[in-house]
Amino acid sequence: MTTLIICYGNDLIGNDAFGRAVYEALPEIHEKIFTVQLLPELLEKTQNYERLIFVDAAHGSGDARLYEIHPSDDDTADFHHLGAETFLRLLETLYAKTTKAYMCAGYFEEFEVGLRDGDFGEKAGKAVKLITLLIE
Amino acid sequence: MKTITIDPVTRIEGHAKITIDIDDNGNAVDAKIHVTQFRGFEKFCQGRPFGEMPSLMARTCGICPVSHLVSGAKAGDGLLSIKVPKTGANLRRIMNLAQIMQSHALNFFHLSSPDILLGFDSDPKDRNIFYLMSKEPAIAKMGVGLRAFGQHIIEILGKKRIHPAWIVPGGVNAPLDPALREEILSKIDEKKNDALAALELFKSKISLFPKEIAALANFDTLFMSMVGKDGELDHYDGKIKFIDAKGNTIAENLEPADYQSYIGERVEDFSFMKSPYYLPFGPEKGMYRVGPLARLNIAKKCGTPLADKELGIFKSYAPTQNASFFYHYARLIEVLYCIEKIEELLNEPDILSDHVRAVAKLNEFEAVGMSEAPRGTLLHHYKTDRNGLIEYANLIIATGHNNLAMNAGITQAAKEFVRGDYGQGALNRVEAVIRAFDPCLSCATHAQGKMGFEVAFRRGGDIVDKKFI
Repeated sequence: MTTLIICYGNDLIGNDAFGRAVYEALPEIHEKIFTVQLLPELLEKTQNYERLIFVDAAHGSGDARLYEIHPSDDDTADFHHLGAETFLRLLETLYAKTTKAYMCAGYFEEFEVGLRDGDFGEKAGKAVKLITLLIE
Repeated sequence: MKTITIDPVTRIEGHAKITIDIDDNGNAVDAKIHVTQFRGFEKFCQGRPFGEMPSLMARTCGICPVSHLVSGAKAGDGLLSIKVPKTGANLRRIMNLAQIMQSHALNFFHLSSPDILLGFDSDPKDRNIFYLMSKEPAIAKMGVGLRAFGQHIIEILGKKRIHPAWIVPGGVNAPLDPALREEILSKIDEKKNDALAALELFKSKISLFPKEIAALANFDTLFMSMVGKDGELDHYDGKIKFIDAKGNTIAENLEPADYQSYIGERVEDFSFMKSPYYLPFGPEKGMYRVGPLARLNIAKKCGTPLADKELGIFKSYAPTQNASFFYHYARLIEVLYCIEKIEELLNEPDILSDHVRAVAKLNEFEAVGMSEAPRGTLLHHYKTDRNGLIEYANLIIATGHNNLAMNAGITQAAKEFVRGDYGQGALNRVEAVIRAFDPCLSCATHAQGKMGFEVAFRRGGDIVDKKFI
C-alpha cells in the first residue's frame, strides 16, 4: 500500500512545531512531506497514494494519538488552510479518490511562540512509533 | 447620512474593510477601502546588512515573496554595482514568472471565478472555491493544477515553495539541475492547454456582465508599467512607461532609480496603505493603475506566440482598456505568457550553465530595484552606510500604486449598485472591484514618514494616557 505522510504546522509557534518534529524524526524510507498548512495545491500530489497519514498538533490534553479520519465538509475552511477532513472531501470531489486516511495528533494545551511543553519530544517520538506500526 | 461597513472584505489577500456613505435617499455618495493591518518593514530592517534584504523583505508576503526577492536582489545588484550573469538573470526570470502564474491562478480560480461562474447575485454561502469545486470540478482542477505548477517550479529552483532564499544580490545561489529542467518542460503543454481553456471560458462569459464592465472601476486613469526595449511585456527588466486612458504616451524610458521624480507618495488618514500618484500631474489628476491590465495596455506585444494571439483579441475590445473587469482577462493572458516564456527560457542553450552569480563588495551606498510583480510594479529603494548596513528603505508596492484607483472604483460601483433597497449582490459588486485589482494587503501596508499608531495606556478599564508614535 503506497503511503504519504503529510506533516504540517508552524514551527515558530511552540507546540505547533509537532508536525515538523515528527517529520524530521521519521526514517527516510517513508514518503513524507512537510508543509506549514494544508492547501488545495497538495491535492494533485496526494491523489496518487492509497493511504494518507496527516500529522499535526491539536488542542487538548493527552498523549499522541493515531486515528482514522473520513471526508467531511467544513464551512470555515478557506484556501489558506484546510482541515484534514476537508482536504479528503476535496480529494474525493475533484479527483474521485476515496483514500484511507489517518490523523496522528499530538495534544497540547498551549501554543505560545517559542514555548514547547516538556514532553514535546516524547510525544513526537510516540507519534513516530504509531506511524511506523501502522505502516509496517 | 449613514455608513455601511463591509468588514472584512472577502476573497482578497490580507485584511481590509470598505465603508460606503449613504445619503438620506438611500444612495451611495462615497466609498473607501481601509487597510487595517500594519507591517513596518522599512523600519525594522534598519541596521541589517544589505545582503539580507531580499530574504528579509520577502517575509512581508506569503503570496508574492519571489517578487520581493527579485526587487530586493536587483537593489542589491545596484549596491554591488555589478552585472548579473545572463543565466542567473534568466533563472530569476523563470522563478518570477512561475510566481506570477501561481498568483494569477489563485486570484482567478480561487477568489474571483465564483462571481464570474456563479454570478454576482448567487447565494453568498455558495460564492466560494469549495462550492465551485463541487459544481465545476474540471475548472477547479485546472486552477489547482496551474497554481501547483507555479509553486512546484519555485520549489524546484529555490528548494522551498514559500520564502526561498535562492535569489541573491549578484544572481542566484545555485544552477539549475538538468533533470529538474526536464521535469518542468514535460508539463508545459498540459498547462498551456489549461490556460487556453480558462481564457476561452472567460471570453464566453464577458457578454454576461455589461453592467459590471461599465461600472466596476471603469474610468479614465493613467497606466504605468515596466516595458521591454522593443515595447514588449517584460516582468523582470526594462524602463517605466506611463500612458493615458486613450493610450497616448505620457512619459517613457524612465529609469527606476529616478522614481522620486515621477512618483509622489501621500498618506490618507483612513488607511495604512499609502497612495502614490504621477508626480507631474499631482494627486488629483495623477491617479494611475498598475498590474496586468496596465501591462497589457502598455505592451505592444507579449513576445510569445499564443499570448500574442490572445493579446490581439484582448485589444480588439478596446486598444486601451479602461474597464477594471478586464483585469481578469489580462491576468489569464499573462498566465499563458508565463508558461510560454518559461518554456522559452528553459530552452536557452546556456540555461544549465553554472555561471549564475557575480560577486563583488559594496560599491554604492544607494540603489533602487524594480520588477513587475503579479499585481504591478514593485520598487525597493535602499541606502546603506559604509559598512553596508541599511540606513533607509522605501518600498512602493504594486497594490499601493492602485490605491487611489481602488477607492475611486468602489465609489463608482457603490453609486451604481448601492441604491435604495439594495441587495447583498450590490455589496458583492463593490467588493468585486477590489478583487479585480487583486490587492495583496500584507505586502502593501507601508507607511510613509511618521507611523500612524496611537497607543492607549489603560489601568483597569480606563484609558489613563495616549501617545501617538
